[in-house]
Amino acid sequence: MSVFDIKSEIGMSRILITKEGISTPLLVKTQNGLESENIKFHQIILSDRGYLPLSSKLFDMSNNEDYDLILDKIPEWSILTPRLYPAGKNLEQSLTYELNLYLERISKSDLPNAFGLIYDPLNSNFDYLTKLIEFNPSIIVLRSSYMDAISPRAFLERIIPVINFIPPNIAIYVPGSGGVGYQTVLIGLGVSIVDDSFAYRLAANNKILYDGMITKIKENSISELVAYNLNEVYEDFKKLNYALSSNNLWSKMFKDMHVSPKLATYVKLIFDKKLIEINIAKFPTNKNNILKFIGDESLYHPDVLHYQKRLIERYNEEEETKLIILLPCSAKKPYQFSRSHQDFEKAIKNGSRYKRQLVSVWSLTSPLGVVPQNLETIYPAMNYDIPVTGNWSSEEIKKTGSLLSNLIKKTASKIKVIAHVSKDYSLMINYASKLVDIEINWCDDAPRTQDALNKLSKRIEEYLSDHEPNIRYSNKKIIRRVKTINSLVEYTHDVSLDLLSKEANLRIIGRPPRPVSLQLSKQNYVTWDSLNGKVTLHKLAINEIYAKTKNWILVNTDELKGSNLFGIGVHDASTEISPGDEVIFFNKDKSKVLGNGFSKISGISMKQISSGIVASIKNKIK
Amino acid sequence: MEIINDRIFTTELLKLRIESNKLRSESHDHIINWVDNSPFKNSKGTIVPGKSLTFVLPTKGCKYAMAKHGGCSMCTLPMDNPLNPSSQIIDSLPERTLEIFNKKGGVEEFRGVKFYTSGSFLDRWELNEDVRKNILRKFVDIVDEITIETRCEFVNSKNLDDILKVVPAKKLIVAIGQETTDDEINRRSVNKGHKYLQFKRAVNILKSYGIRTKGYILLKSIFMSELSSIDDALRTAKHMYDLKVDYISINPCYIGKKTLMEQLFKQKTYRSPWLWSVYYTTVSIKKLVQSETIVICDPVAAGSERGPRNCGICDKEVKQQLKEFSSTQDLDNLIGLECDCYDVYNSVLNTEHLSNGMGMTNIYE
Repeated sequence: MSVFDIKSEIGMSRILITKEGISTPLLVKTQNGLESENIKFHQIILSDRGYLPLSSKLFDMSNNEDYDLILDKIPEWSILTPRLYPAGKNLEQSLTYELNLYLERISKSDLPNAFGLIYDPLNSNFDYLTKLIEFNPSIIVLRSSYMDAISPRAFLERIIPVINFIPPNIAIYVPGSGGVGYQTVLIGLGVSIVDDSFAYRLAANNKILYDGMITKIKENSISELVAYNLNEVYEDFKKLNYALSSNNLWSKMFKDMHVSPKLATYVKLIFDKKLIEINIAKFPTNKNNILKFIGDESLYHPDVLHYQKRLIERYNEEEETKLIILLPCSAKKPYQFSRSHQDFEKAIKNGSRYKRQLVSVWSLTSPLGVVPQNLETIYPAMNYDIPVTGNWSSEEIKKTGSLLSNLIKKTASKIKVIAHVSKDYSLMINYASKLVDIEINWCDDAPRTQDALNKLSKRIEEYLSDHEPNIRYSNKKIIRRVKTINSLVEYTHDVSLDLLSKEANLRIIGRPPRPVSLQLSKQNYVTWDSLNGKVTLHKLAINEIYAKTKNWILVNTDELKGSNLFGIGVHDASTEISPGDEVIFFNKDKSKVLGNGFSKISGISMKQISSGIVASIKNKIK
Repeated sequence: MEIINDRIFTTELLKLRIESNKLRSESHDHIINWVDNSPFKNSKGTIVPGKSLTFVLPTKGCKYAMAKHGGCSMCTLPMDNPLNPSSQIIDSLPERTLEIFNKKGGVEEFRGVKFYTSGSFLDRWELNEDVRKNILRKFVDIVDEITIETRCEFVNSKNLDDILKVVPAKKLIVAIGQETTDDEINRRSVNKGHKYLQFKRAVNILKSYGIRTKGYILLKSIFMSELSSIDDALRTAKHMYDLKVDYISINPCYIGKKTLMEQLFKQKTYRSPWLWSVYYTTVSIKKLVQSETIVICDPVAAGSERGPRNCGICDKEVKQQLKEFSSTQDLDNLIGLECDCYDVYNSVLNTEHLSNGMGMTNIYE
């Protein structure tokens, strides 16, 4: 078993940690053997004579026996390497022989707890990788050409499937490519260990690295360039760590790609190859950092794509909705607390009066596209910042416009849609209105003027004159919040609690920003934290939706114990689970619901590991 | 797929050998020769630098290279030799080598001669008993040392008794290209065809006759990384030291034409060793053997693209110092070499092992 557990999973990246507190990502120093802050790696050849250490202190051997030292025991943190590596044209069979021999020798070795094995994605298949994984290594080294020296397409095609295949608690080490920007891409893709050899390689060619840019410089000695480049690599690594722990790694990647065409190719290919979509469930649904969306790249930010995927798949308008008003977004989040949206709300109320329940509000924004009012408190709708210029790029128009039209097609094809936005949104709305029917109320540059608001009220009144509410709620005051909670449960579990039908028995206790408790027939039903959009189901609610939730985990026992669920206890898990999602625990054959909690890692990763905490346990059902 | 034959790569070697043989001339009489600075031991046992003249005799070359396994993976030497030299050419070698010797300076200039054949001096297929004795006879009284090269299998009583009829054992040095004492590397990388045990046996036979021995160590054969090749060279040196081999010659690989090594070099899956590796291997081996064994390293093609090389700036100096050390055996000649590329080298040394075989050759563009 790998000595690493997953401390946190942030998209394809993860922070791994050992019991001793050694955590990834690691930047390995290559000057005196291979060593990182806490680990000295040993390189060991598995030979027919035994374990041959490749010492980094080859030249300081103190006695004659050191010259032919054969170890009885493989030291901890050894990287075991094949005897020979006949890579080359027409040598495939020889390589196969060596690689099979490598497997055989590993199987006969007395392995330490922590060790690394080498895998070559170019010359070995997944069966071979499976066999390596069965030895329970903590590290897998991927033989690879340098990222900057190979076509990005070839690199990604070789590396990505392998990274996805390797259990997430095994640290992946890609040697030789840890340059500024490149190391961010590698860590972003799920690699845990990089090294500093890039700095030396550049210096060898009189190249200097600054802010990710590379320039040839002849005035300095190689040692000076090495020192300079190393400093850049290590500084960048520090920043990368900050970015990773604050969920800003992709923002860093978007920033870095602007200084290197090759790096930009990597990032763009990651989008083109739909790598994020494949791994989308690994991206968090619940974070509290502020994402800075600057530039068209943010349209491809994984958290944006994840939000949009769930929105399209899981968001549904209430049956009674007859009218959707499209509004501009606001700097203040949630939008409904902004002054502009409070003005819009007044106008909507003025127009709809007792029929307010028939009207829904969606905000238009880039890069998220559309945020229905009920989802305003979730991540990342609550947590982003964008530069406001009023100018939309053609890519923004296309992507957000098509999301809007798709959402209308899916949830509101029979609902009237009125856009109450300034002309800044015209291109986006026009794009969508070619695909679906939207009535456009242009408000020039000022949708908040009294004139514009009056026009909106009037138009709502006109439209609703033909519609009457079918349901008469006993407690109208709570309906907005009930609808929000209903949408949030649906967004999380892809199952509706159908709260509106139970409205008469519902009671809300507490007011945002404090957690709101929804009670059904005086029993705790759902808790909603308006600060992060998180909903927590209580026993009653769990019992209603458990059969249909997408966030299920099958547990190896019939009873939950303690406050955390560990990998070893997971029998199976839904691949739809994302880190931060509320999850429902079941027994092995799903015949009994055991409780609920929150996932620490994705369902995809839960299925691949057998150690470490995978979820926290909130409620246990006996 | 399970491969029973662990030497499938030799089919590639044979293919290349057939191609290279096509480039060899049927017959020629050219005797390649050059002058070396060599270490000689005086009567008190101290090292005195001197000169020796080396001949490459135009025999048929190495028989093993013509075998179905294609010969050694790095070896390009038979290309210098004719495929089928006439008996007149072979018979004339004693006279002609002496002629060259005298022309180049004779006894005044040289304390030793070395006879190479791109094969084995003791192989009767290359040189018959009479010719090889005649060659030795010409030089036995005019030089202090005669070095011949051979494969292990020709080291036997019959051959040794034969040549010792004309040359005293104490004047003779028999060099054997063992390359590595690790049989795995030997079998699946060098394809040498002799095992460590055969080398041991050959050395012991030579010792029993009082003949001095020289072991060749190959640095960075194919399929090996820089670090593992240094490791292997040091282990091999230890074995040779334990066998009390008198001379250890470190031979860093250079990329010869029509070899598998060249093929890999062109595919960017092989780089000849760094001169730093050569340097440190030499220093480390000398530290091991001290004055008991003479350590020689005169790298072929050093500093060129196909030879052992560093950054291009320090190559000449490292090569010069190695030559100097080889003739004086004075480690001081090797201490204190410095170049900016040393840090780069260290980084490559530690990481190449993990990526060996995939585009690691072009550190310097």
